[in-house]
Amino acid sequence: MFQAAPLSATVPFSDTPIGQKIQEITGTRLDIEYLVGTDSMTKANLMTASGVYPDIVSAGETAGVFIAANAFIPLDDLIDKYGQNIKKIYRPKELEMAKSQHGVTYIIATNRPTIDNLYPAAGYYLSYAVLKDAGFPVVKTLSQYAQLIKDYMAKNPKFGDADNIGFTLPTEGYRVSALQYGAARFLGGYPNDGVTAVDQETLEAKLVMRMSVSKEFVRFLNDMWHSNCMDKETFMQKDDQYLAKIASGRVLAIYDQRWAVINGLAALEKSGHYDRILVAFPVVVDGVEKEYYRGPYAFSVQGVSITTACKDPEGVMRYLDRICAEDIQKLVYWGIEGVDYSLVNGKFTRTREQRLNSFDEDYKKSQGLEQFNNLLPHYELTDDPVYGKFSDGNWVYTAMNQEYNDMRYRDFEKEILKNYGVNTFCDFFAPAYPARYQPGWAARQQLPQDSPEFIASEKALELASEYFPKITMADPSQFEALWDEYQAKLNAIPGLDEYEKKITEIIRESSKYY
Amino acid sequence: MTVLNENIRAKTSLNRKDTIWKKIVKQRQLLVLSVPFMIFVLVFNYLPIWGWIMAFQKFVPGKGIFGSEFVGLANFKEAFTDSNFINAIRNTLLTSILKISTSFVSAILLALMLNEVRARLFKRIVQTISYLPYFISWVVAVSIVYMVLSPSSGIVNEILVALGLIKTPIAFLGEGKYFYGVVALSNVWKNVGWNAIIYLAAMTGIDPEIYESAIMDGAGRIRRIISVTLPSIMPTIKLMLILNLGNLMNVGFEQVYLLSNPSNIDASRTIDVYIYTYALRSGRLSYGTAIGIFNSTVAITLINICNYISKKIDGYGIF
Repeated sequence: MFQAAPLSATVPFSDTPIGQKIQEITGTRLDIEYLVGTDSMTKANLMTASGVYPDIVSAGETAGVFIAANAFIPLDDLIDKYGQNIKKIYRPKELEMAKSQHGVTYIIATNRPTIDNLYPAAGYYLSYAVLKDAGFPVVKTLSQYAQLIKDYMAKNPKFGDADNIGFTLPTEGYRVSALQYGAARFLGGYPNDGVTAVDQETLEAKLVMRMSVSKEFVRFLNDMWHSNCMDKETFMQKDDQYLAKIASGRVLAIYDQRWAVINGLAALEKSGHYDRILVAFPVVVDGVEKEYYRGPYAFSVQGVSITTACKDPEGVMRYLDRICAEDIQKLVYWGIEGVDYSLVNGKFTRTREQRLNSFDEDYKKSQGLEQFNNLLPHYELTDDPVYGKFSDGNWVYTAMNQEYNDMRYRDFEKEILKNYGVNTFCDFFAPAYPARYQPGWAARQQLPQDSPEFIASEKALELASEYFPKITMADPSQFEALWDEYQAKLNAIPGLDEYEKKITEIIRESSKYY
Repeated sequence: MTVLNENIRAKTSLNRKDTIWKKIVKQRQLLVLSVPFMIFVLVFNYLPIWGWIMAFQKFVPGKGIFGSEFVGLANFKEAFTDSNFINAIRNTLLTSILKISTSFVSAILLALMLNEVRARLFKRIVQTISYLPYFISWVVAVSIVYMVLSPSSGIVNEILVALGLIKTPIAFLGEGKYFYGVVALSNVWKNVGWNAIIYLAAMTGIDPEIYESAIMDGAGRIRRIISVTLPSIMPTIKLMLILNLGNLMNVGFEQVYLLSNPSNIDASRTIDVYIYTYALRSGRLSYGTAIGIFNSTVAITLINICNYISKKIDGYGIF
């Protein structure tokens, strides 16, 4: 099997007690090749160019490459024959949509929606130090956010011996998306739809780079730069440097998605700088009423496929279906009975110690707890009792009760929450809205890579990563001129209108499956 | 004289077959030794040319070369109408010329200086230190460059500020205008010791008697370098120059790609980087091949021009 994600995202199967148990039950040893580096696109293209495939590929966002190269086999008959468990844990609509995209099913989704009521998935982060200094304000607008950073920087230019960093962004490799469009779309009150922002009424997709909110965002960056708040290394830092800065506690503010900085934040906590912890807020530009930071948790079709190189597709499908059975899913999510949880009156319970273990990333990795849920097909983590519970009535998701939250938050986090008078860090945000369509980032992956529309969008992205640093560093008097130059060049790329139209079509078409 | 020459020519033409055969027999060990390399070149440099067909197709991996649709010169047209590609050619040439000239001059200078050093231990130490960086990979070398040039903690900025040469630290890797210089100088740092070896070797081959007679004629050190050492290693210099110019379109992907970032992309987008982002990463093998063909054509033309000029000037060429 090939997994288009680096090993750091998960752990080798056979190294953990839970992984070994799963191997025993299925009688199958899964050899996994992980992505080295971050560039799954290049790897996918090299694989298809060579034509040498493993039995299973978890292609993630590169599925289109494999499908265009005829590397995957249709799974419909196999699912019909062997997929009893698969049919039980996926909604009929999900299976239908997977089929609708290519006329046949190539992919069993492993990228399933997840609810998280503890931490918002993305946001404009501010350091605890800044919040405390300003008397714990609830941050709502971009101008307020900028002012808080500037005020704190003016008073406290240094943290220990090092300079405070007012604001920074990830810009290496694909992480530059935060700069290109990621940070701007939320400011305008749009959910995460990749390169595009989707109007929630009409479901019309527009390129974020061509919207006025992008201009507001880069104006903010320009302002940060010239008030000496922005990290001068922002546009040339590697991702590990970025995370190291966060871990050092020098960073006062970032925009990012939580999963991407989780390692930096964990290191910050381990070093004991609780007063520098970063808290996310749903920042918007003036005039925007509704924000979609927590977005709709929409399902999309990303997951595992069987390749043409597989000699025994039936065996593989039986294996995948076996993985979806309850006993294995209990191992995946709850762990080994008696070690990670116990059965009390038919209910799954965890002692305090077991709970604390389940919060410890190191323990989870060595035990294999919650490590294989994104690798292979799995239950959805939902509060929907039909799909979110095992047949014995226990929740799949271990975080379905308040007791979990209480224990999950660390003392310094509880203190922040107490100062704000809220229960969770999600309470600053609007609740997640119900999903109505396939997210724009998933729609983009359905376009063939050599189509003029896709190429146009790639060129637009490249232009964005070229111009954003330029405009940010430019003298404020040149801001307007440079922005106009950027927009003129952007609009001169042929095929962008068609790109928006194509994505709109795909999104509207998908809306009938939600 | 003429008669003699004609005699020789007549003889050689008579015995041509014999002499070639004799030569082969005489050099058989050398020929056997060269076989693996010939196979290597054949397999890795000549066989892949077959893939050039892809440049004229809309190649789809699943369909293969025989199944893919032919599109004529569409890929070439697309490249030459893309302003980023034009920008890439410009950057490639600029970076390359700067890189070749600096590495050339620095290597010869280092070799000349080392050659003049009489203390053996000192010479060895300098040589070892200067060619050590050659053995680390660009990935590591680039991280070192990033650290040294960092505007917040880099030693270069700290020194410049301390000396009062600049007021605020400069983000050397954050602006396009510094990029060519950074590439050229980091290349010198990494490769100068290695590149100097070949010139040092050439210098050891110079007959000491020439130096002795130069001293007799009253030539000082500088004079000896200019009038004896340099002319003696001229053939090596020319050979290296021609070989290097053939690589004019290859500026070294790793170094440039690793040093590139969004804020210097308009200077760091070389042809290699362009192929990587627009062709390899997005799976457009045909487009990448088309640009590759353009690259090779330019390189072959350049090498021929250089060789021709060199031959014209003093009758010495490499082929």
